[in-house]
Amino acid sequence: MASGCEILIETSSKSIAKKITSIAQNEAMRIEHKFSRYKKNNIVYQINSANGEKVSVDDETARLLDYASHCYELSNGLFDITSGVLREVWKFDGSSNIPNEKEVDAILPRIGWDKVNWKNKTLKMQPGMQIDFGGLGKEYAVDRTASLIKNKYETPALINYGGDISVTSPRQNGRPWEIGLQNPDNTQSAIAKVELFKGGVATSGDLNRYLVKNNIRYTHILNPKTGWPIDRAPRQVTVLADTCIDAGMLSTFAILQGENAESFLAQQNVESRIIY
Amino acid sequence: MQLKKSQSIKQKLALASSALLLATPSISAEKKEAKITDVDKIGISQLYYTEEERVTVNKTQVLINKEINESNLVKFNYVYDTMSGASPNGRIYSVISDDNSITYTTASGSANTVANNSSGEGIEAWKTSFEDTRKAYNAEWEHEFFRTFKGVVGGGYSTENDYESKTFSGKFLLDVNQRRTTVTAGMSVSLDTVSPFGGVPEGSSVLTCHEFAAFRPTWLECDNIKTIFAPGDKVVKDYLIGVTQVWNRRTLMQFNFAFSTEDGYLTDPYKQVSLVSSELDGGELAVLHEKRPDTRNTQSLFYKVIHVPTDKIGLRGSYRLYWDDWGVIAHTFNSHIRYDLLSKVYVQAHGRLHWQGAADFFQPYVGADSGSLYHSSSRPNIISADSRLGELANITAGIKLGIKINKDSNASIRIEKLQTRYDNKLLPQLETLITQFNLYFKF
Amino acid sequence: MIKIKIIITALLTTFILSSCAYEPVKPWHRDVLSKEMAQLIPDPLENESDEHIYFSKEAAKGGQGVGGGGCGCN
Repeated sequence: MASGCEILIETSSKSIAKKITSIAQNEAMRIEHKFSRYKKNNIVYQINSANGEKVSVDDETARLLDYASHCYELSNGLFDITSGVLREVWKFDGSSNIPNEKEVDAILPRIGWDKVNWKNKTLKMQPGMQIDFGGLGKEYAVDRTASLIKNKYETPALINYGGDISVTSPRQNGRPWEIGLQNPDNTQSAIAKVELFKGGVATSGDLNRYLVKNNIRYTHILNPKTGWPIDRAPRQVTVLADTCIDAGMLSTFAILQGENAESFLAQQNVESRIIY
Repeated sequence: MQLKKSQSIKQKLALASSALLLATPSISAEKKEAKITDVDKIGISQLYYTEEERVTVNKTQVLINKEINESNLVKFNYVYDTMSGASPNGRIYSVISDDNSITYTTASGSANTVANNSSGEGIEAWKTSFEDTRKAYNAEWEHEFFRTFKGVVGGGYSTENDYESKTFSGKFLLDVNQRRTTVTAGMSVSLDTVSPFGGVPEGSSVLTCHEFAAFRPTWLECDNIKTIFAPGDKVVKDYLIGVTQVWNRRTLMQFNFAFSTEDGYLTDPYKQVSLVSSELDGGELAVLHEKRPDTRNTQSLFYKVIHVPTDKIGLRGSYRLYWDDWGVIAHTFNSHIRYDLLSKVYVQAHGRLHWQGAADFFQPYVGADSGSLYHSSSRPNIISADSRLGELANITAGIKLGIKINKDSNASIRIEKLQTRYDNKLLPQLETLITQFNLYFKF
Repeated sequence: MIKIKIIITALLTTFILSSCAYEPVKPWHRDVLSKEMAQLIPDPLENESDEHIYFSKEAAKGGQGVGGGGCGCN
């Protein structure tokens, strides 16, 4: 998952805690193994090395692709799981190495969900295109873990994979889970406290992944249509929603709105924190 | 263009993610939990009301709330009450002693005893006995158009031995300001018909003239006593606009402005007014029917605050200022203090204070003599001696005990004492005892 | 007389409002006000009974809601 994962369980039973932990661990590793683009023998590898051939996918992958497709439409094309190839020219290491226009333009033809033929559990992409579930894999894992736990146990639990959080229920006595939102400028302290009774929290932001040149900050969140970072994007957006994946997608959408992030979130009537 | 889409993005995402996560029924159950009060439930109540053993009311009420689906809720309410006893009819107060002497209270509030039962009546004429059964049915349908906008329509029908009422109502509630503020607007129309036994009396006409009274004012027509045989209809329209505001984490406030218009027969067919004379030492020489105006316009301002300073204490207080074009002005303070004794038991104290000024046309009686306080030289056009339209204060103190039986049901019992004080001192203070048992459970 | 009463009411209201500070509440802070004891009408059976009792004993009416229906009691 490339980030710290923890699970908080409110119980006095050691055996339940162990069982819940193993459910979470197993599910996290299963999803990591199945959908990571770094593995060489999973469905994502098959899709990305198909070189123009059709690939049949299983039910779960189909659902994820359907979801990604919905998000592509809802965001007017700004959320696009085929945009990962831009990392070939953009390396966000805090330096000032921004690519030039020619380099970016060369990648653009290989991006675009509209160029993908996704139908009847069969995927066909042009050669050179890649899909990447990085934008929703973690949140999906969090929500899946939460519902697996909820189906079996009434124990309150909080799943936190690198800041993407979901809770199975309020804590004992109906109390909420208390979550601190990290201060991007001082990662040791929190800038706000959130009380969660149900649902999830997700944060999108560039914390350490950006470039700076001529005093302009280039966020790592790129516009797939232009290949360039979103203009005037907030540095960090945190959203609360009924599921972690909704929260994550809304926070991503918000950042994609750039300077309109705040009004976008206000219209959605969700609780959020934005830091510019 | 972008904006329009934005409004439903959150909902569309939620739909997409529930397909992705193969949402189990538990997710819709959570939605139910989010609504705290509107949950399927049945409430049953039994109330006993006694006015110093004069009037007894026994009331049973059943309410049913049922959620049809996430955005629709229906409510039914049924009331059955039986009332019996005798209550003041507006005639001057008198006490009849064992020796058949009658004591009247005069204008100055002093007692005036007449040696013999010169009114010729052996009963306490200032009260009317009655026995009545009332059944009322109410239904309401709440529809949530979207998360922040709700509409409610309702209808009701109530019937008593001599009274029938049909009501239609509608209101909407809109949440704004990140759901911290709710704006409410509503109205209702009631079509009422009163059909008293013997017909509707002509207002301010004479009910009876005492035989023994030698002196009668010229305008007093004792020979032509007539009653109109027709039901009395009235139409009442109520309007309300209000704002509920979450003030801070522990405080909620409500501000309402309500106004209403009434048209038609607004008089009480059973209420009377005494015509008194100094010739009879302030005693009654004749009795008139009351007559109220044909229209009434009322307004009220209402403020309510709820404050929960600690997890165990809840405070509720409200104030209502009322005024109408009959000249009545009233102030009503109502407060409840609830304390959670144990996790499943609470006690609640209730205090209510209501003060009202008299209506313009209220008179405790009509004086036949030219020097008398409430003299009238002709038949009064608009008049009422109904003490409920006079100056009075209602003081209530009560205590309630509530028990949580289990997660879905609770019961409570309350006992309250209501004291009514009449300012004109022409009626004695009245004590009323109210006892109520309530039970709520889920079904 | 009525003017004085309105002024007194306004002053009392201001006092109550100012002694308890306004603070925009976040949705995750709605827990306290969602308790039963914080509802505007926590016990509808009791409320309906009271409204009816006082309606039949007093000249004033209304303020809290509409649509209650009439009765021969006033």
